Amino acid sequence: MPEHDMEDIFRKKLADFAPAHNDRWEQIASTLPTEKNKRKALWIWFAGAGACLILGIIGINLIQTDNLVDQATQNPTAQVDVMDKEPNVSASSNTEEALINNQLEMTELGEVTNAVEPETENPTLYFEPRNKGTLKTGSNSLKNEPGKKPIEPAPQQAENPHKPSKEFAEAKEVIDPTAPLEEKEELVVEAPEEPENSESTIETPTQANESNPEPLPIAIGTQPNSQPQPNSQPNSQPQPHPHPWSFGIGAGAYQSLFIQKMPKNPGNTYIEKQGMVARNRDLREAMEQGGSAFSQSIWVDYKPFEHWSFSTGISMLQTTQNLAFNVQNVFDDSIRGPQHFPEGGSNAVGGQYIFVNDSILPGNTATASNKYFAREIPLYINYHHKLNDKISVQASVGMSYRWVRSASVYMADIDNIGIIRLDGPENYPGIRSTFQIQGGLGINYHFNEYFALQVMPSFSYSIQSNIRFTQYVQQYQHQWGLQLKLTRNLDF
Amino acid sequence: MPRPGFYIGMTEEELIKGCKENKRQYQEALYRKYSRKIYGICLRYANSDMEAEDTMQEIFIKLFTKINQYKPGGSFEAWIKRVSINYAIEVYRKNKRLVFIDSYEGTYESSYDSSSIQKLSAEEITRLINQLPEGYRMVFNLFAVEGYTHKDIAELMGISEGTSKSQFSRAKAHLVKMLAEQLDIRKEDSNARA
Repeated sequence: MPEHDMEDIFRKKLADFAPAHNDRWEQIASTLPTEKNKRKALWIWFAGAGACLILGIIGINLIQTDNLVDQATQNPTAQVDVMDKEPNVSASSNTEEALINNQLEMTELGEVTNAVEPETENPTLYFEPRNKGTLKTGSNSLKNEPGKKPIEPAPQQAENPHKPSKEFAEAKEVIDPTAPLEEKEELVVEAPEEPENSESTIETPTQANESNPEPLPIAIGTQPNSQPQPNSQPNSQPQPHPHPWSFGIGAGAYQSLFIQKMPKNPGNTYIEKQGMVARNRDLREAMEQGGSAFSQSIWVDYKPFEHWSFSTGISMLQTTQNLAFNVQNVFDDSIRGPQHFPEGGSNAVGGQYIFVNDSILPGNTATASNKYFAREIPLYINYHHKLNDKISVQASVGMSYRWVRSASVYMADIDNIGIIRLDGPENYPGIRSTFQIQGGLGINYHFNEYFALQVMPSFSYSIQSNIRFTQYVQQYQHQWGLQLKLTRNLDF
Repeated sequence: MPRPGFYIGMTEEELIKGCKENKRQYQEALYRKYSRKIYGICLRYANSDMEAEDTMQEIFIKLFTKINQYKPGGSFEAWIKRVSINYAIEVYRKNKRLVFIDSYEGTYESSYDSSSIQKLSAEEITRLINQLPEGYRMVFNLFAVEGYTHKDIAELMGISEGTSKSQFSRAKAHLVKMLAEQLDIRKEDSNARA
């Protein structure tokens, strides 16, 4: 026997020698440096962006509120445009608070109500309490009657319409908000001086007194000598502003569609790679049958504006595909080798697929159930339109980030012999997280000022494949369906 | 924790990429995939199972820390084997346990039946190799099993090429002797059963 025969025999025999041994992975892992977790980093960025968005919305809302307050304090004088219009002033007051704040509102016809927009320009009217410390409410309407002299603007206001008058400042100092108001007392509107060439058509009380001995009151109430009637003029009452925050729970049912994309050659033939596509092409086409999905979610809504709101939360989504396909000749012995169904690497019970290859015969029908368990963070921008006190419609658009927590595949032939089962993301590395564009048009039913139920047909369009690009075949999961959401306003 | 077989379906590029990114599950997958083969290598160089496991553990730590040095293109498994063998040699050189026997008394006729050797399992062959003196075993493993040349062995072990050749021939003679003894034992056993 040649000498090298023994070496060859040894080499061949020992080449694949792989004896069993005690597991040393824990000891090895304990000495290795810590793992870089890119998914965690991505999650942190996503959470940070969401937090910044929410803080930005809150900030804008606060700034807007501050501006309103500033305008109210810088320009508190009741201002009535009487230069160009026929004045028809009727000041009404149903509440003490309205008087104290001098909230008079000028309508287009010159009517003054008890809710005045502070930013009203062309101030030509200011109020001065005749009796310091006590505002006199009137019961008559102040009308610009013919023959009466118009109210003239305060001198300093004529120069600077946004500057509060000195008299007003003094009056404001002496007004005691807590002091009770006397019924039927008059609030006198007067101008201390009369500038030349004034075109104001509202008479001041002083001027009116010259022509009419009766002081000219401004009607604060709606009816002479009437008791305050809070509900007589709904628009005159400040509407209770609902709390901007609300939370809710939701559930949804969807139809999913899995779009498979396999690259093709210029001649419209599939590009083969590692034999994978050839084997799974029929399966992939079968997988476009779609599946069903269910979700449970928790929501947080923020509505800083009357018509606009923002929604976010977290949702648990389970998608199931039930596939049926005819076994073709593509199933050869390589089914025992590295598996690519679905692509992405996989594990099986005991480390080996217990797929009985002999049972997968051409012509037989096999079934597969493919399940994905995912979590999702949506972010919606919503537009609301109120139809009536109970019902409003809502249009929503947004995005969501979905990451698969685990996936499983159950594949069986007609005799239910073959099984491929994958559990856990670590055993399913081909699956990746995706971003979706989402939208919907829904109806909200408001049970009362706190609770509302939303029914929204919605869609979700995936802009990323949920199979890693290294796996060659791409799969886009789109879905449409119906989601329900019960919300509770946080105004406790 | 990934189950056994987690690496099935994964391409080697993915596995390497994950290990380079220090991802624990990919490292474990690499361990699951290659640990037995590396242990088999270690068994041929170690004096005991426990020592082989310790060596294997050290080799994996070295692999994970040096994996960035691997350049795609070559065989990854061959690279792992080379790293493992180099480490095994390094360990033995550190311990200075190598004793090269210049003369081996009782040279044995290299007359044996190759069909008998074919019947030996890999475990039995490994056990035979482990019975060789350390110096013989090292050279025999490197030349006969790993396929190194005597020149490479001389460089790796810091000995002359002639020493490597003589060590190998003596190791082989020793092995044939042990092999014959084992075959004799087998024959006696089979006769006794008959």
